[in-house]
Amino acid sequence: MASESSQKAALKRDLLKGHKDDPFFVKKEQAARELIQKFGLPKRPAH
Amino acid sequence: MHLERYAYGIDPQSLEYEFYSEGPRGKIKKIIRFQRISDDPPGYNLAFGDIDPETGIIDDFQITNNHDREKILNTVVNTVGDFLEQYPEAMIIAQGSTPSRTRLYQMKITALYDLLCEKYYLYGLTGEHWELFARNKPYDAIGIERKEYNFYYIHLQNNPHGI
Repeated sequence: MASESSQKAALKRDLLKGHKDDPFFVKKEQAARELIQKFGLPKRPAH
Repeated sequence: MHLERYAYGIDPQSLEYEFYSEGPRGKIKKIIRFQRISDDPPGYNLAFGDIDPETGIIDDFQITNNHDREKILNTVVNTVGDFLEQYPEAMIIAQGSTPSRTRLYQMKITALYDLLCEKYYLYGLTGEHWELFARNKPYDAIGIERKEYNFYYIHLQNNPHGI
């Protein structure tokens, strides 16, 4: 089992510029937008 | 929150967190993206995927495959807390790719309910409306936001110059 520091070092090396355009995440974002279009976002409780 | 979790890396520009699950299937890279989906209020979707070690394709995370489900979920909870520290006004929603995945998120929130409620408002989507999260009730999606921001917001509304 790798130590936490070696895990962090590996992550730092591997960290990509992001997966914004990856089809998986594009699909997820679209589904979330559809959800809030239908139902909105939760409202804070009134005080 | 002191939960057993994986160390993670953060890419603040892309709002992504990455970590490795370790278990019988080896090291599997996991990616959590907070996707901006609305501006007012600022809403973010929590999207969570695995990178298949053989194909490099991102897919829904295979939560039972590496025998570390709790540690993975603890890591996700921790990234949510971290994200809300950086974006205190954010509302995060999460929806599993299947009802059972959403249920899994819900079970984790239920287990940590008392702890989470100290700092956050929790919500559940039921039927066609959002409500405050109740334990043991099935939801289609889950929402979370900081409580403190509310106080700060009210304070600013009453004292627009921050006095």
